[in-house]
Amino acid sequence: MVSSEIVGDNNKPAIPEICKTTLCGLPDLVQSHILSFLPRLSIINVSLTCRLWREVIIAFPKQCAKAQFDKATVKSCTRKFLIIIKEKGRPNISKTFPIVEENAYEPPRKDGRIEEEQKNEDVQSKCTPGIIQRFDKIVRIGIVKTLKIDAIDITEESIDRIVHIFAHVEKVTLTNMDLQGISNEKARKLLFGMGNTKLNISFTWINARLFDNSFWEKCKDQLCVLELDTVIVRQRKVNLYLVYKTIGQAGIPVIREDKFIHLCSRIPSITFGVQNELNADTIIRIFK
Amino acid sequence: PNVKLVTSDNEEFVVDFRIAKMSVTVSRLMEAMNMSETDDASLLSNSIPLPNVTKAVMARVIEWCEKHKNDEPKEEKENDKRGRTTHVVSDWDKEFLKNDEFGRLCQLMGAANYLEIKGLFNDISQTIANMIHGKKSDEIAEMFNIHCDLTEAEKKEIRKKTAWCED
Repeated sequence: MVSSEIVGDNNKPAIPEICKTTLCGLPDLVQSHILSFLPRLSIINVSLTCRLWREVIIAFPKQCAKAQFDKATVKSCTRKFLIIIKEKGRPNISKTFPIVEENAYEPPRKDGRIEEEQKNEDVQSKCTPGIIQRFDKIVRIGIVKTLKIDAIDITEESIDRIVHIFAHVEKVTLTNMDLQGISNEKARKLLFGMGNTKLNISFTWINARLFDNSFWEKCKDQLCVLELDTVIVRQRKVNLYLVYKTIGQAGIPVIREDKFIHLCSRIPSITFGVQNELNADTIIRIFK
Repeated sequence: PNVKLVTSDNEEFVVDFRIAKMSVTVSRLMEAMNMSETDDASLLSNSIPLPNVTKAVMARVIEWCEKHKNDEPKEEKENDKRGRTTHVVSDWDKEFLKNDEFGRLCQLMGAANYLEIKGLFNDISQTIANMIHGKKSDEIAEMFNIHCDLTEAEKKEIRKKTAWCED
């Protein structure tokens, strides 16, 4: 190994050690390269630092890192629409939007209930264009791993937009949703259309027709994990917890549907928790 | 074999051929000047001018290259699925860059970019990104001695656009 050595005139005037060069003096591409290493929400603070960096971020959006959101939750509760973003290792960021501005209420009821009761009542919030715009902002800044939609009055049009905006999510969770008025095709688009490999549905009203052959085919083709917990089909509550292609978590399947055995036969692997309520005959029939 | 590199302030550095080849820019210049590892005469009679690098910075670049000259070439990694670049800065590199005053770090970054030394370039990028992370805009401006030239209206607009995700 030959060591490098400095050969030169040591009597030359020394170049000042402290150089006035700042980051902004580097070529834009170099700056954008640095920004591509920036984690999480720092990019927003950088864009507020000076016009040049703002321009660099706008000019090189692909090079600039996006935030990584573990979860984006969209929910309605007590007459509010909530968007909650969870970034790993950081506190939740949430924004609340009154749903009254979007005409998402039913008219006040005249059944004598006191105003306070009405105020605290949970109402399904319509997924309005204004809210959809908020979703756009989320994905412009960050990449969402899990999208959770909770108690939102969803329409077929909003499904199209949501699927388009969140096309990259890994997991979709639907809770307290009423999908009975949604066509099979659109419901399936919501469940699978984002390219997600995990799907969790719980306390959700669905049309029984949704679980037809093509649903299970789609599961088989696309999902690593399917969790169905307390799906309500036409007034009959079905507690079903399936974990397929398991992720190390035991499931507790509790189902009072004869179809269950048939469904199991369509799934590559199922984990039954030790507390499952299946009787021995059922389990034997499943294995057969 | 050794290669002679001449900086903007006419300082001559004699470096190992392998170190010279770590720079894509130098490598290309050597090819253009028909300098080859097996041709000592061509190496002795030529020197590579590097007008964009000063003596002080070149010394740092060479120090980094000395440490990494035997490294296995790293496989090109695509940005991860979520669009973020990932790079692990080794402990030695962290220590190497730790004591650099920020202005010098930027100079080193500029040199790594000009010389096309990818490993060094990524090390510094990650180091600067780590310095920025978690800081508010005024702290970033102060740290990097940046005068904020955004108007209040522009700041308001930026904040408005990202309002939902601020604390």
